[in-house]
Amino acid sequence: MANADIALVRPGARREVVPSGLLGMVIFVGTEVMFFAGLISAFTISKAGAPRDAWNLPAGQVLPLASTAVNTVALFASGALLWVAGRQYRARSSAATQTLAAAIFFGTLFVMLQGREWVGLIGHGVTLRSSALGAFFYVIVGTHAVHAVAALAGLGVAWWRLRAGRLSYGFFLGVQTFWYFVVLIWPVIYARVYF
Amino acid sequence: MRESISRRVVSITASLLTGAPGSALACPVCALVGTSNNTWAYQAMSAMLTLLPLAMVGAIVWWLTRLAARGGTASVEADLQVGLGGPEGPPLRINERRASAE
Repeated sequence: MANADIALVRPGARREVVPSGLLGMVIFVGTEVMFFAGLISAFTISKAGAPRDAWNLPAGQVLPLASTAVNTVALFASGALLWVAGRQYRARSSAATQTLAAAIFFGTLFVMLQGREWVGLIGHGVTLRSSALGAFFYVIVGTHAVHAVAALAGLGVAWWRLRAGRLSYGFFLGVQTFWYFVVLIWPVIYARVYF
Repeated sequence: MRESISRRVVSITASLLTGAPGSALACPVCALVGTSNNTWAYQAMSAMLTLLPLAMVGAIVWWLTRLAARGGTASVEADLQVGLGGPEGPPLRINERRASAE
């Protein structure tokens, strides 16, 4: 009986097609995509319905297109570095730890630069209640920032485990997937909200 | 007694119908419909919100089917072994523990 049980779980009889952690993360990311789709949909309909001169920030302020483009480069660099770190991890290269740390650094840089922009905008009177555009801006970009911080925390845990030699591939794939979501949803938000 | 209850129901229903708005809007931006040039936005966003989940579910199902159909799910499984302790083969799991207990 015991042998029969063992035979049932031998490779080929039952195998894990995809790590459960990764599948769970993919489904979660799917719900998050719909969440952002809802926000962007509301933004698009409100913008299309608003009079042209009413869709502005107060006191002639404009959203910081150029500096946000620089932040976007930092975010993309982080995504690319994470991809490299994944390859190094699979190749059992010790450089994966440094590359992952660099990815976390650029991700953190993105969040901090975004925060600096927010401080500047708030200083110029752009708040949640100052205009419809301001409200949408803070809700959509702020929600993205919350996701970025959560993903960075996950990457931090992955880095810590990698250093300790306890990082499972399923966990790493999960946080990688979440960070790629944060990176790839950003251009959509940037193109839709800032322009 | 029953008559007074039914009379009450009729009067409450009548007063609700009298006080109800001419049109009930299900979303905060519905008031904009027809008053501005945003019909295209409604249609485009409705299409996006309808098709996006279907596309995602379809993509996930296709991805899983492809992985399962791929002989030994070579790439994912080989990757898994990195995290599970080496290339000797996938370790036995739940049933192995049961077998050793027996």
